[in-house]
Amino acid sequence: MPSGSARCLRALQAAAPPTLLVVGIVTLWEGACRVFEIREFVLPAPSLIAWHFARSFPLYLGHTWVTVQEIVIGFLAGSAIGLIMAVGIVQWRALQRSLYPLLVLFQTVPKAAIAPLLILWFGYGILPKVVLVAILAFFPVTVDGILGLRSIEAPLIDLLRSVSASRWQILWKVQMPHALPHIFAGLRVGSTFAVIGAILAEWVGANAGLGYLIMSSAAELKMDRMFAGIFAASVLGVVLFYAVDLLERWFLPWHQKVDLQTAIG
Amino acid sequence: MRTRSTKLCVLALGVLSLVAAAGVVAQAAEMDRVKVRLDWVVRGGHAMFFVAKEKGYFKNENIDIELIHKGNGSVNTMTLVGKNEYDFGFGDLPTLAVAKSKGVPVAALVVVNQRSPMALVALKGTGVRMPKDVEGKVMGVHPSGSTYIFYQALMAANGVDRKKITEATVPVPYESFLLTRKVQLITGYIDAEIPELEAKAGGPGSLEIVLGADYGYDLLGSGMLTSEKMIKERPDLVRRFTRAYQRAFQDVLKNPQEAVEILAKHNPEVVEKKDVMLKQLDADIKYTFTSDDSKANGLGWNPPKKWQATHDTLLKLNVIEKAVPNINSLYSNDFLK
Repeated sequence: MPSGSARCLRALQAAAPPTLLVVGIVTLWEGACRVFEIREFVLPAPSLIAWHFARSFPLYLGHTWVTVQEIVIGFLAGSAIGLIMAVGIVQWRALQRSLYPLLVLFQTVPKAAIAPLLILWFGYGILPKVVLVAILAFFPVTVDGILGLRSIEAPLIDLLRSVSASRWQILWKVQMPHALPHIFAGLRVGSTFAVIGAILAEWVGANAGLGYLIMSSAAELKMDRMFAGIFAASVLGVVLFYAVDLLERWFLPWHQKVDLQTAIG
Repeated sequence: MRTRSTKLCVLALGVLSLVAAAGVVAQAAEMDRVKVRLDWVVRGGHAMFFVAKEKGYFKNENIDIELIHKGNGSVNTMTLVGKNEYDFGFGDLPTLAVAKSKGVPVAALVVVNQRSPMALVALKGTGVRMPKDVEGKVMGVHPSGSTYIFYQALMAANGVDRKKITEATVPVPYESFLLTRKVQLITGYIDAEIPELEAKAGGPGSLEIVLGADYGYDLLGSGMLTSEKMIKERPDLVRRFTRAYQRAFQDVLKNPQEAVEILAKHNPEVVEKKDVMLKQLDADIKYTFTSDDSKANGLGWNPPKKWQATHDTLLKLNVIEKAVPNINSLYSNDFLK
């Protein structure tokens, strides 16, 4: 068992490189803005953005809340649809042949082009935003879900069949638990797409939310507000990503997830 | 003997043509090459650039138009001209004032729309004759940019209670929301999308149009602009460019038909929209290209009072956060003389 201070030291060691990198980049940015006298409309200095962010913090809270609602509803709906599709495609060969190619085709449709259409079809409330979030979020869940459900060895399924386990028993008791790590990988990717979907939908037609804030600030050349909005959206994305991560730890205590950083390192 | 003289002849010809070619190259090198950026896809009001090019007005001023790029909004035109990526631009003048208040070093040279071409539009039978009629209706808005400024300022100028309006946020193009009756009213430009919309809504008389300029909306429309650097460092080029542009502006006023033909010749993508572009120009000639002010002071004149009004309205709406200290810095009338 490591002692408390040792653990603290290790945490510090882990946090040091990313912190130093961020501080370095921000310093370089600030320095460049001052030394080269870069005009605000080209690139505002980080100090200016931070000052604006701090000064009008409630503004960001309000808009972030609007975006959060769209993301959460859309992400939940998209993930559910993605999972159902994965199960369907794995269970029925006909669906795999018919639906899967269509899904891939649909995924390549430029979403920025269909965003305005969604608003024409679904009105100017929250619905088109939720739909776009769901459209962006479902695909990685479907793909990873299929991968996960298929990851179980064929002899094991044969064995289960030999003891006359039903198709649904195999799905619920063996395939699904086995697929969960894959599904969570899909959810994590989907969560970052969900943020993009919400911002994009608000960009084309909304009167609140971070996407609206970024778009309207750009139209009025309020660059400090625009960058602060982008920053808030990024923070939101990171929070959502780690929320899914936390959910996975809680859901799958038995699964020793390979940490991305240790995997790379 | 004969072959020899032929050879000599060919040689002489070759030398002559080389000299001539060199002369052409030298002349081209002496010409000032300029880049132009528009605010959006090509429409009738952009004709001056193309007419001046086609009829050699730029060439007479020793200017070679290297390129004319279409734009994606006036904001980007302002910042790109301000950064000197382009030498001249065309864009929304209220947006120029906003850009200026943010330190973008641009200035207007020619006011093309002396009166704003912006209007409220509804399908026939909606019952909109004046701004006050918008109360109780569903209005399609996009809460950013020039159309939103127009909407807010027009409602304020006419004492309209915005609480009585259902404001629906819709993306461009607003027209599809009007045609599918998702909204009852939208904002639009009489010299851009309204003629196209009218064609889709059932031809002349199928729309109710309330021109903002008739109801106290006194902001300027669009115009031709350049950067402060150009004015300071190359005033002679700015003068020559403006002179050629103004000559073309006169031609467009007198002969919009010819202007549309030239537009179509230089922009193959709009060939099938020739009649719409003619209607765009007709609307401009009738309502926006001239005013009493410009008739007294000259075509394209920058009216100081209207610039002040444009700036003050934007300041009141908080689109401009910090007042521009010197309104005269928004434009220059020096090159029109």
